[in-house]
Amino acid sequence: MNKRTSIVRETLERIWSNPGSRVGIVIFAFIVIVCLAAPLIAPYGVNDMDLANMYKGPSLAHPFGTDGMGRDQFTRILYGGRYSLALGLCAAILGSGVGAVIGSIAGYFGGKTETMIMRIMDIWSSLPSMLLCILISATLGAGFVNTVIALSIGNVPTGVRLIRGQILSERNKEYLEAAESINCSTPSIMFRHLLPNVVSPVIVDATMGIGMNITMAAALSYIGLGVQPPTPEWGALLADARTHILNYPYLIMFPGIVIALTVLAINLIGDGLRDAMDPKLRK
Amino acid sequence: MSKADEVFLKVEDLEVIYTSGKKNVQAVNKVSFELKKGQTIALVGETGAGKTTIAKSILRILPNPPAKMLGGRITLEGRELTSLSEEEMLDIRGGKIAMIFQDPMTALNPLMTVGDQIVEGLLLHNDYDKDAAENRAKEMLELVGIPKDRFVEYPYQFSGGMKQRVVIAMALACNPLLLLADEPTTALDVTIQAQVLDLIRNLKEKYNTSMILITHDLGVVAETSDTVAVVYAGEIIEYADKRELFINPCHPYTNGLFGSLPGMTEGESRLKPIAGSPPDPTDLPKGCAFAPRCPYVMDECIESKPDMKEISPGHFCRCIKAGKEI
Amino acid sequence: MPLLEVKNLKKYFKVASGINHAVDDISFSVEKGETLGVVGESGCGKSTLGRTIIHLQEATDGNVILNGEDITHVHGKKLKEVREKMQIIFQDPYSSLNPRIRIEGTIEEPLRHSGKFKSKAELKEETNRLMELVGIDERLRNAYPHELDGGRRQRVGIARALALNPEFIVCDEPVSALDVSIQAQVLNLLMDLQDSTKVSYMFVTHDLSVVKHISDNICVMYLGQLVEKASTEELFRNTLHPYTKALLSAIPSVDINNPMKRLELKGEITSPIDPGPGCRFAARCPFATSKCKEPQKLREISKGHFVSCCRIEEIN
Repeated sequence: MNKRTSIVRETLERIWSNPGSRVGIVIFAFIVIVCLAAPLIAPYGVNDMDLANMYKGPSLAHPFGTDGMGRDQFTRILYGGRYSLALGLCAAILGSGVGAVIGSIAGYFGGKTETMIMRIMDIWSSLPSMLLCILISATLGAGFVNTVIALSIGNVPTGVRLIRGQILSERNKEYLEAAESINCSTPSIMFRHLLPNVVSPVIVDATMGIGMNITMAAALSYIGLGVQPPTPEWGALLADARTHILNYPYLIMFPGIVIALTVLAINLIGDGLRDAMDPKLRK
Repeated sequence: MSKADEVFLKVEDLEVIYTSGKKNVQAVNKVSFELKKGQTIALVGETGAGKTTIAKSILRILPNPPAKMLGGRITLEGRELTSLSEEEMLDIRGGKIAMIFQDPMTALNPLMTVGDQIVEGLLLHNDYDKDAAENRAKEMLELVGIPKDRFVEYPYQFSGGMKQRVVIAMALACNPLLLLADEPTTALDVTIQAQVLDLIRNLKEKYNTSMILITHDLGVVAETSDTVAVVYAGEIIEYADKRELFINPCHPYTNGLFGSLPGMTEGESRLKPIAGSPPDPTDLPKGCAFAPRCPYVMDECIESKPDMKEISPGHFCRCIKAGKEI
Repeated sequence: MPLLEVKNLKKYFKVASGINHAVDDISFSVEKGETLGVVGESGCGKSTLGRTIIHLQEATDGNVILNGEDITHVHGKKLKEVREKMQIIFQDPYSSLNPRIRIEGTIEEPLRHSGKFKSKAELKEETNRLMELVGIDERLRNAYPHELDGGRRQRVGIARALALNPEFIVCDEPVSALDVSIQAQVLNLLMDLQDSTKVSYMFVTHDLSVVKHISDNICVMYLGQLVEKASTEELFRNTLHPYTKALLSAIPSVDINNPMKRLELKGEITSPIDPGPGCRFAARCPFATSKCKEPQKLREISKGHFVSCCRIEEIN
């Protein structure tokens, strides 16, 4: 009780002590490390074509097989992970970050500002997020940055709602009055007192959002709007393989498994994070 | 006391633990008491002393896990409750034994009219048809001082005191033999508390219902109960007739409770509180649970748990010094 | 000159169904080193009164005078000064401490904002002094609020309020969430602190026995208005207003030899939203007549004993 530990460290320790999220962390860390180390691990170059070995099933030389141009599928998945993970992460941070700022404004100032922001969010979130992504991607054009923007825009309304809801339930707590009575300034009340108590659901939501964004990015690539070939983004790999789904199912199977595994790992971590950041569960 | 003198409820050596993670919490430790027909026993103690757990284990509504009843017998009118099947208990809950909860705001279903909520219990436990049950429910509402035309209203249309009256009407509708009242007036204002206490007392007399009253308020005990059991850290540490306990409190904890009450120490400028805080239930002292806070503590108190001693007929006290001069 | 004077203070809130007269025309004064008890049931406006006086809420009308200076509407630097002189202790020690700030941080915060402590060492020394003053063990300085029990948390709240050496503290039901034995510890602490620092308290509570124990003077409130005001001794010896009588007789007495004869009240507390001009207690009063429909004035019956009831001569 008398030893000082930082909240961040305490939270990390508590995530680790949760068996579910520990499995998630191990899987996710493995995927991230392997993707980052792609140039060291990959047996072939990412765009190396080998026309003698087209549509080869999994073998020792090509563990995940090769595609229609004889490119090694394993190598492409490793490199593709870098794009997919970066896409997911950037979109989650950007979307939730913008959402949190707008939501704080709505929650803290209340009144007309709040009503206006929330009505806009209502309209915003009434559009199906996939449709919104397609619209934005189509307007801005394909490419990495544009895909990040398209994906993050769908995350904004959730972030706004979460933060605002948290602030509403926290706004009347006596410790904020106490802070006011001891002459805390408005920014100090907002950032020192209020924000740390409302931010955890947004962090959890953003974590869960990474997985969502990866699948969404895959879907965008699949219909040809996301990252463009020959960039080996995971969704793009699926898109390439779609015509051969009956003849060469392994082409769609391996990227599919990797995406599913990543999303699962991230959701496990998110679940653990939610428990770890709840101060009531802290011992 | 003549024919009412027979023992009606008997609790013997009740023991309940809560398991959380690897730790066991001894919530109720060898608690025994008796209750006669038409009488009220008050369980007095501080937050976390185990009062509510005792009541809930009589009704067998403790969530398992984490709660687990390790041992003990509960006998109601000669019938052993602990060995009954779940179906048989269903009949007893709400029928023979009814409970009034502390918070009237959450004890009622907000989506049902108060009338329907009373009727529901009646239909479950009696052979009433729908009309008879409705009539009975209206009668009960009138009895607790609510006009019967409010039968069709929803809980949000009632104030806090009114809701607690509805809860009482619900509990008493099936003519229970035993009423478990868990801090029934704690959430209410003083003037409303007075009304509700008077109501409970009158109804109890009218129907000769027995009651276990759980409270932390010695004033409520003085006004409502016949016998008193003082609960500390899951144990009954003093048990006596109300008059006897208020006039000759024996255990240092009971004395401390009285010393803590403003208004008892007339003319003195400071209260005489008990030092320290209640013990951590996951780490109870080996000896007397009160020893770390006790002003008269001796070595023996820390080494072994004192037994319950009868210091005068019907007055029991769990203290080494009980009956001796301090 | 009294330390604090409150003159005809009003605080109205606009609500959906009308105007809530939470504090309606209340006047009193508090001397240095004295405790004023404010008693009433939930919804009578006693907490709003305290919060309006110390500027957590803006007064609708009336004056608050501290040391002879009108501070009803102050802003900026002046407000900061006023807040250093007037503090508050909250009812709920569970929600009045920020769950993510350590005990040390909570107590230190007002000191930092005051700007009076230059070095870290000075800050730490002062925090230590405050912790010792309210009886919090040194080893708890790095604990989080949830690791402490209710009594200790309330001590932290008291240390925070005392940090700037205020002259006046609003105690908003500071012991009603605590167990009896802990309640007595905290009451004793508050009284000891008053003896040593000569701070004045406004003690807001629903518990007449607590208020009797700690107060020099008592105000009884009902639906936003003062119904009776007197010194503690006078109020308990010569209770005049029917509401005060009912409140007194409603406390379950621990004295089993002399059970209190109860003055039964009809019904429950009504609402302070757009109240009529007459006595607000009349609807529940066993002595109400048609005269009670007229506005009631606070009258001085004997020296320092004020009552707002037109029928006291007849009923007493």
